[in-house]
Amino acid sequence: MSETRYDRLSRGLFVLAVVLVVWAWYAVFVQVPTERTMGVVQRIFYLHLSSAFVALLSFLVVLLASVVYLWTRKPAWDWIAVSAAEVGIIFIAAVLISGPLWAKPVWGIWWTWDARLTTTLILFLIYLAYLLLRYYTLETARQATLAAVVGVIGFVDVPIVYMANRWWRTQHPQPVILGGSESGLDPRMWYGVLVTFAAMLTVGALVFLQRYRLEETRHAVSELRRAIGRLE
Amino acid sequence: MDIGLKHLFLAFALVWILHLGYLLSLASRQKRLSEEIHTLEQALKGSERSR
Repeated sequence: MSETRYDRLSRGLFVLAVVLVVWAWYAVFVQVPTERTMGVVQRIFYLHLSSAFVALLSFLVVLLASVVYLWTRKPAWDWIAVSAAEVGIIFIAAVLISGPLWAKPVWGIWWTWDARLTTTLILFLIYLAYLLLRYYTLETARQATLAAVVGVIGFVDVPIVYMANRWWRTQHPQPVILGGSESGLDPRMWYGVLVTFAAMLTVGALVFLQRYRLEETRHAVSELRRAIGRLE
Repeated sequence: MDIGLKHLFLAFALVWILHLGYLLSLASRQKRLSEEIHTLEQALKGSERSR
């Protein structure tokens, strides 16, 4: 991708992200109704849920890009995988930050080792290991292959995280979206959910684009070094 | 301040600091690599001229 296309796309995404983030803040702090039992702290839910959505989507991208890399061996797929993994790590970290901040006033504790919380922490650690593996494996092709294998295997935890509070009794609340006949949200809360989803998705896309560009530039640096090495 | 409100503001602040910090770190790494590319291109031109 040429530099101008990157710049144009980044600028467009940045403007869209700023507009959507401001809109999401206004929706969450002003427009959505206050939940009856939890009070104002329930509004963390919008941030928490949309961050989780972007994180899981990023890990799906890691899986798909890793499979395509193993199939085609084209470096661009490896760059997509590592970029999506870093985006996923950042967003799952946001989930692990916002969750305990919601839990303390509601449950009286910051953390509990229930199925949903534990599998989410494991997910964070799996992708952290994925990134560490890349940084500590020196040879590029071997690094990409190993990372792709971890990217595929690591995704096994994603459906477990999603299903954890459906399969087991958990301290974590039961799903309010796609959770069966007793789940559901007030339509005004749906509005808050949709706006924060859109904002987080745009921020995720912007971060992904910047990270992919970095990977592409890193590759260009290696190529130049190799070219100089051949001439000397 | 109500503890719920305090935690709400803290959650938003920490998450957005995380995102902003990461974006800034990406921009700084990108800048460093772009400078390195410029230096390497100059070196490559120099090597080609001297051959």
